[in-house]
Amino acid sequence: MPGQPNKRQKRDDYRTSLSQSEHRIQLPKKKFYRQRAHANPFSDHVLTYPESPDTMDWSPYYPSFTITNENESHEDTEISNIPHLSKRVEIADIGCGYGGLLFALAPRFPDQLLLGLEIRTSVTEFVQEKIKAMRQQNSETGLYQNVACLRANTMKFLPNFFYKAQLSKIFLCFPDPHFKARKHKARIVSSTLNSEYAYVMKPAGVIYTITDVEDLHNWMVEHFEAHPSFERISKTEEDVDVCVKIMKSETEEGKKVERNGGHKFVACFRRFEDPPWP
Amino acid sequence: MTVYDRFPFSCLDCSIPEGNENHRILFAASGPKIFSINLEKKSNIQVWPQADNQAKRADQENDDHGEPPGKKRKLSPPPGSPNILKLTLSHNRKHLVAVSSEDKCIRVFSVSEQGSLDQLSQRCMPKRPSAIALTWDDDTIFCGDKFGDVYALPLLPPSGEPIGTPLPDDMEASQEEQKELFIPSATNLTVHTARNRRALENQAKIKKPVKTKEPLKFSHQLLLGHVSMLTDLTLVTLSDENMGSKRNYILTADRDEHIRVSRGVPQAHIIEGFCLGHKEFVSRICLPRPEILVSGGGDDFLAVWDWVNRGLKNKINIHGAVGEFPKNVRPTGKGDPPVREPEERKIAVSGLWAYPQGPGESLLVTCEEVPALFHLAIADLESPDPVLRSIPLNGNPLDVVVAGNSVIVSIDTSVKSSCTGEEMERISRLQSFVIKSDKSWNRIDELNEILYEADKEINTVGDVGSMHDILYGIENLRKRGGESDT
Ligand SMILES: C[S@@+](CC[C@H](N)C(=O)[O-])C[C@H]1O[C@@H](n2cnc3c(N)ncnc32)[C@H](O)[C@@H]1O
Repeated sequence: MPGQPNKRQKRDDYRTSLSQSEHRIQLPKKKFYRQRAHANPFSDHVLTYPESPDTMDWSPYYPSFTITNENESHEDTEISNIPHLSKRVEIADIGCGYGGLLFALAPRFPDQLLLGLEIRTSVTEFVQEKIKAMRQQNSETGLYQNVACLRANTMKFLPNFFYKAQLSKIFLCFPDPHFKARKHKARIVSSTLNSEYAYVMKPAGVIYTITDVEDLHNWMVEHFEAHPSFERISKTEEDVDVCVKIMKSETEEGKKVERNGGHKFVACFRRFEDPPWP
Repeated sequence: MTVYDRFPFSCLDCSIPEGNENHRILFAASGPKIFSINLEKKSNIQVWPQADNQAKRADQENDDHGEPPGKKRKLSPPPGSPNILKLTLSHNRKHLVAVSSEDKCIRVFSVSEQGSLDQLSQRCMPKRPSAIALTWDDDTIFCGDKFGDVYALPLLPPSGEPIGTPLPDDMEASQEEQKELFIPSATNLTVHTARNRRALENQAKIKKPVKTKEPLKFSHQLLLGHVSMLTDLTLVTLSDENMGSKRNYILTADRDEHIRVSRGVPQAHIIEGFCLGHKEFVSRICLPRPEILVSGGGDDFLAVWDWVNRGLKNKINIHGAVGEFPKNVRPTGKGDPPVREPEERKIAVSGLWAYPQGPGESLLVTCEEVPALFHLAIADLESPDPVLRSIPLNGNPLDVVVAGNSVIVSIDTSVKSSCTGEEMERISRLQSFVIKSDKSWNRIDELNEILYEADKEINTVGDVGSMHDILYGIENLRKRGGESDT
């Protein structure tokens, strides 16, 4: 929602001063990055996304994992000029919002690259600024170098960012519920989209879901269980998974629900190995 | 003022009996009608639907013996009848599948020896079908729609199933939505926006389930889906020599530059990979050989893929060859369209076909509002500088069908190219060519004569301008910036 002229001015001033300031030690303030809650996943947003995973330059996102290539390749193709990372992203938070989960997970998985994907521009910028600040505040330990956030419509462009069988964990935390039946196709879980999640996931990789909307929980369970590539993980296994614990307590939505004394419904699904061809 | 022009043929298919090339029947849809044109005999045309009053009257008036229906009739389509956009003949030539736009319907006809059509079923889809294919055994129709979903429907509905469905009111989405139980969707403890809270309150007020849509009343299966408009769909079977087995694949293309490779039924939920490399929409995919895929769309190149391994083999620039032909656009009535500089000329590939006959083996290419048929040797697809040759046409090509060694092109004579209106009147809407082994081309006199006669006899007229967006929808797939974010 466009703010009042002077409110918007303040926000712009704030953001420029933040990005120009030499010591970005301060964490960004959320109030300057709020944005209308819903973005239409079907419309043609002005999005930037790579043509294919081969053409994605990850180096600005994970500078300390970038390999500086000594023996310069002389092939002058577009792709061979793209810097490489020492590892690939394996943990994705889809619709990461303000990134609470990412900041909690990053120190727990220091050897893995984590990526938040978010469709709302301002919210993405907030997470990006916060990552910068957290990296600077923790420059001694080198924490948070393994986390990044980018703007993307994951319902359309996951295969542009990730190779087949690249991800080991996907988080779908408190997805927009789209209550009205007419809007159900906008839900981030559906039998057809689940095939795309299966495509970008390694066999035995896990999809984590959490919501406070029981109806949406049932919907997600129903659609993942009905999909031949996934099986639901047992309650006992869920209970010992540290990611489940973090997901319950560290997401912004999770905290809100906690404050309001609401319920949280968790369901996790493991990706099967693809069956042989018939 | 509405101008009535000769209505073009929006789509074509052709029946070529094996071992009997002399019994070809061309199916050509014009507006809401489908004509079956015998390509070996003059004046042998049948029309569907037959039973409208106009047709009866015309038949009575012209009741000379043996005068085929369809002779010398001025038909302007009754207002509101759905226009037919796609025709697909089954591999055994016994059934014809027609897709119409306004009612989003799939109609299946049985085809007689002589080519007359008898409607067997009519199934209306939840969204407008945008791509259609039949399995090799002709048992199943695969239908992709505007919202990216691909459904499988039996060609012949199982006995007991109604053969015609009423128009769906407002079937908004896939079947899953119908399972919605109307327990309030969130508890009052759920924290949400004011808008959600309102939706919730409204749900609580309505005790009964809200009927959002009718379920599809015929057998169907949702196979896969893109979150984007599906533009083309192809089925292919590869035989694995080592295993002696066959693998079925479903190839789908969308408006968001994707070409997806999925396994065939019953594993259509498994995505094998994507062919990524287009920068604009993909509108057409074609397999001139089972293992080679050619794709085209809003880019000024065609992409050649080793689709099994998702490798890009070649990009063939078509900008030069297409740029030789000025765009032939329908005047908007607001003066002449601005003449564009060649470098900002946008290309929208509207069709790709394989012309597999003998030494002239070629890929045929058409682009929207470009009055030419381009061809390219299939042997050159992977060479660094393939030559794109052109056959100039005297109007915009709308569809092409390869009938044995002849290529039949449907030409929109309602958009005046360089000819005067009177000259346009004499141009046949159906024309045929042959591509020879030295890659030169010829008109086929004998066949053209039959097509010319058929064109004269089929006197459909209508307000073609009002159909413009349906006949010329490809360039509209290009993205124009979209909604702002703040
Ligand atoms: C209710 S919020 C939850 C945020 C966060 N996961 C949490 O639990 O605090 C849902 C988020 O998903 C984002 N989102 C919705 N559709 C998306 C899409 N297609 N691609 C990327 N993000 C999307 C929304 O912008 C929103 O920030």
